[in-house]
Amino acid sequence: MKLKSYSITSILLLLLTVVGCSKEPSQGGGFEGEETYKYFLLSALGSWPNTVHYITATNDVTQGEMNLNREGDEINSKGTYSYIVKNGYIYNYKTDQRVFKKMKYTKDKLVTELEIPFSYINDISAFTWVDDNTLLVFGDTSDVERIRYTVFDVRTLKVIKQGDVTGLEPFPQGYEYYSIGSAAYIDGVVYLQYSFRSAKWVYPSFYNFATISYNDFKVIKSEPDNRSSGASSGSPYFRTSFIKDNNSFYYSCFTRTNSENNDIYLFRIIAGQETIDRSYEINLTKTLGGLKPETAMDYIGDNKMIISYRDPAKGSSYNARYAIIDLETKRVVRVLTELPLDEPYELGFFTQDQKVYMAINSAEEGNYVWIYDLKTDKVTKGMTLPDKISGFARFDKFYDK
Amino acid sequence: MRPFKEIFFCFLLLLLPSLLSAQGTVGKVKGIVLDSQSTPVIGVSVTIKGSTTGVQTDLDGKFELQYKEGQHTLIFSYVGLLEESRNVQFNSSPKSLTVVMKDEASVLDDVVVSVKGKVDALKEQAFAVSAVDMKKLANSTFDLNQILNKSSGIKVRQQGGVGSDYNFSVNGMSGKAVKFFIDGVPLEMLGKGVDMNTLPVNMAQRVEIYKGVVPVHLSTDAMGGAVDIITSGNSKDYLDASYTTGSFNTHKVNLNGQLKDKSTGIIMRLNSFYNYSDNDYTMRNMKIYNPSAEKYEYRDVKRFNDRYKSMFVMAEFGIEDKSWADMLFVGVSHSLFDKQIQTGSNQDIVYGGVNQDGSANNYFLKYKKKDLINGRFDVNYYVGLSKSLDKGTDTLMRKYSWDGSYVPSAASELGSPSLSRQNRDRVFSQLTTEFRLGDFHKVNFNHMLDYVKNRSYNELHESKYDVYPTKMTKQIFSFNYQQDWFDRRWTNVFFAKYYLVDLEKTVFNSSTRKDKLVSSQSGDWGYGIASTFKITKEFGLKASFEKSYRLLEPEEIFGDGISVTSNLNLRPENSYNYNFGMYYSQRFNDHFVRVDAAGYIRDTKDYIYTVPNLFNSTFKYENLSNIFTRGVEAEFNYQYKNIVNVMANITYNYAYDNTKYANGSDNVESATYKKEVPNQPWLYGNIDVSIGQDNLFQKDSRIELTYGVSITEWFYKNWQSYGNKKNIPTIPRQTLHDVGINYSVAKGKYNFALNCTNIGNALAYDNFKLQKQGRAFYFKFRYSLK
Repeated sequence: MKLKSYSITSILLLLLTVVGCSKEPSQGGGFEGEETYKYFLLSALGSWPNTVHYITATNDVTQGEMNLNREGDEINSKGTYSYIVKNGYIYNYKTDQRVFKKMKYTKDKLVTELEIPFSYINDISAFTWVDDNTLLVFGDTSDVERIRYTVFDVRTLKVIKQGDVTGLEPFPQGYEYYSIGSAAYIDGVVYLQYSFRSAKWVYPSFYNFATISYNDFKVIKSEPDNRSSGASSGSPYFRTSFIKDNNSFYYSCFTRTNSENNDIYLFRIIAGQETIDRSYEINLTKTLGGLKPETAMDYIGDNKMIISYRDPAKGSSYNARYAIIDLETKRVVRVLTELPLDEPYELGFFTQDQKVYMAINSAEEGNYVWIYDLKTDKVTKGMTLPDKISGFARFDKFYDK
Repeated sequence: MRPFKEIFFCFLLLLLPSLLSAQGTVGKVKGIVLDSQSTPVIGVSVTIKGSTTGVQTDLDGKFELQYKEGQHTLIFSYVGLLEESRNVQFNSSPKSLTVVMKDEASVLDDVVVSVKGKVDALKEQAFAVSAVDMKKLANSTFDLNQILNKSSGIKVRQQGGVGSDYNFSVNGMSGKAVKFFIDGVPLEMLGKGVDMNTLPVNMAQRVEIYKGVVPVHLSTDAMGGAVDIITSGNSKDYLDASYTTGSFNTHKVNLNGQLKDKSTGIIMRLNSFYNYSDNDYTMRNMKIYNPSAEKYEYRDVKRFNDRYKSMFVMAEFGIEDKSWADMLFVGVSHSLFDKQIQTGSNQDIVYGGVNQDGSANNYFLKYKKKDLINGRFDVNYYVGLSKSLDKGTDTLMRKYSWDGSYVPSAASELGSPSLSRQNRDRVFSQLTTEFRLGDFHKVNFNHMLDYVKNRSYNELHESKYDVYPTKMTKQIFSFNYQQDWFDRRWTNVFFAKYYLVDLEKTVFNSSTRKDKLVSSQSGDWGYGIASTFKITKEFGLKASFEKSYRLLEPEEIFGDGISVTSNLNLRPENSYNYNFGMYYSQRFNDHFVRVDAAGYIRDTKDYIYTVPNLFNSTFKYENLSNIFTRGVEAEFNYQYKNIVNVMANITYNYAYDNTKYANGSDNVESATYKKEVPNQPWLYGNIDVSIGQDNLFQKDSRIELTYGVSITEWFYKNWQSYGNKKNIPTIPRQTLHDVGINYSVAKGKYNFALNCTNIGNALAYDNFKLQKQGRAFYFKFRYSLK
């Protein structure tokens, strides 16, 4: 019996010792952070399937350091990272739960301020701001093919109105699905690029562009354009279109299948016009010397846009550059060769006050914010960023100004 | 080819002494040792009186002994059994001898019958194997997963109640890396209605869990291990029937039996079960929207879309002990299942109309003949044809809430309306041969063929015949050489496996807008070694190694031409698996103690995952990550007479990201390199105690009280080194207690069991905090006629 007692006691002690040693981490302490922030960064860490996305934020991207060893909040459990950002808040549609959220990053933590059940559209395929408090989103449904819209008052997340866009062009033979491109709201009119596709993601040899009345979401005019096929991505993950000086809307065209054989174009519509400006186009692929642009572009100011592209001659990864293109001359006016080569993830830059702020994920030692000033044409190095990571999913501003 | 050449020459060198010694054969004797229940006894010492020559009986209770020709006396001895002796004739063509050893227990009260079971003998094999004796647990109300989850090194993470999906992890490896077998045949052959949480415990005699290193008779691409459920191989008539009922309207019926027609020698065998459960257990603190308050609130609610039922019948007919066949059986099985799906990958995603159902038929033949070619050659063959149809239904355009209410939705519950269908035809054949070169050397050659033809389609849009089937043929040629030294105290097993895979499928070509047939063939070598050394009769050491694979599947390499692009450079996932272990068992009068301890390393490379291509919104499978896992596990067993049984085990598992470079580069060291992999239990253990007494209330009865506790230590959901430490989510420690009482009368003919699981009603969860059931009660009646 003695042996029995010893044995049982020993094994219990062993279990208790090991278990007792492992103290669950407390939720107290830690990095305090600021009440509000001006800029944020989403970093992806770890190889699949253990990739975790973290948000960190700052009020000054020109100096200091973002250090994931002490700060940051994981975001995967709180929503997708297709963030729509305005006036210090993040808006996110968590599609698997069918919940629309309004979140704020404060004290180094992503906090949900408001959330509502929302299942009117499948996902946000395109969005645009009507004003600072009014968000317009487009999406489709997975039973009947249609394009739906919802307008939110983002102060309360109340739906102001929602319904189907009416008057779109009928499906041509062999194409049964819509492919929603980018959208823009300017002065009471909604501009929407869209296309058709088959179940196997084959596109017709043209895309469509519609001007839509914001009042009733009836199509004012919809026209096909056979200069390119496919559609840009208006999803909050990417930026493949932009509004220039509130007087024109520029958009691109990407296809899923057979994409290697299609050049990427940039087109435009002038605000107030019902039809697209057919006299205007830029073959972005040719302009970049035959290299394919990434789904990341934006307007800087003074008729200049910035675009990211990969150069396979620089290797299979860490091979991306940024170029500045003049929208009038349609030429590359500047390649930012001062920057280290980048491994782009989704949207690692933003523009503000004729400056571009880029989070570069480099193969070299250390990652930094790099700032291109259009007025001086100078590049400067800013804040130190996390390095050796999979990529920056998003680098953006919380406020427009 | 180079590794194979080296292995081949090693084999030749190792075989040489045995080939030489086989030349000078003298007289021999062979036989089988049975106990009073006619069960083979493993590890019986068989010695020649007046000499030092002797052997131990093998896993089937059999022995074979060589000595100079003539009459000699054999002594059979084993603790707990009365010693036996036989005068036998050693000659060149001996007849098989059957020796029945009587229990010492029959003359002594309360003495443990300490016959070393097959389970203990398996644990002393060269392979790293956990074996669970299911005969002892036949009265249990637990399912196989619940029982195996109490084994060291095993972690089963289950999504919910009866019939829910689960992730079975062996030493930290899970998913497609772990394969399941029933009597050496892939469990999938029996259909989706038959799995580890639906198979009744009564059907299994024992379960063998091979960790990391898998013997050739389970030839498949089991990179992380294999679980083999062994059913009764007994040739006696029996009937085993049980009915279990319990919480959440759970009902389980099981009927197994065997009948031998003495005039014709034909054996008829039946295995069947039926399971049903509403699984409507309470979910605590679920987030539910209150429209009048315009906010989310938290309430306790019952699950409402989780009903499960499954049914299985298998009938076999055959003969045994003929001159041309030790065993020949043909059989047929039918299974079906119907299950509702309550949640997605986490419990914030609620479904109200998603369900799955399916059926499968399996037709098979198995044949065994031992002792061909002068008693040196055994052959074992299995061939089976399985036809199955699995269906998934997701047609409701609704979004459900945890209170069962719903609102219209732009999407179906899983995203896109579907009546998914998967038609699958599968042929599995396995030829296993063994050739004994002498008493201490044997070789095995196995060939496994696994052909799968699969048609997957959405019946809302297409029919079965609109879809060209995906075909996959796996062949594994495996070779095994086993040598025993020092009277079988030192055993080495060397093996090599050649994996040959043919894949065929159609891929959409967007240029021609037509489907194109593509195919490929690839071959890979796997190899390994396992060794065990019994330092004393009680204490032994063991070690094993295998380079193993998880082979590619057609979708991974070819894509579909639409949303998944092809990657012809994809490599199979592979792993270098190492095991080290020791065991010690000792009897001190009425006390029996056994300790098993092991360490393991899994150096796994080229894990395959999808990578998005942002440029055109497609995906591609790539060899993306490497994981390095190491761990230790220990199990302690104590037995006092036939009264007290204690089992305690503990497992420590540490896995880190071994992907050195980020984004496929060759110079950017990843931030998570060498960092602990998140969302993995790293420390867990179990204690099971049972106290029983025979003949307490009436003769030939036994009453037993059981208690078990399982502890899974807290673990980080995300990388522990990154982010603000106050933000890092953890899965808290879980401690679950179970109690039960079993009562058997008429020598185990009638058995009653009452169990309460999670008696403390603790909040229990698995994968991503999916809540599991709280306190539950189960009652089982079992009738066993032998």
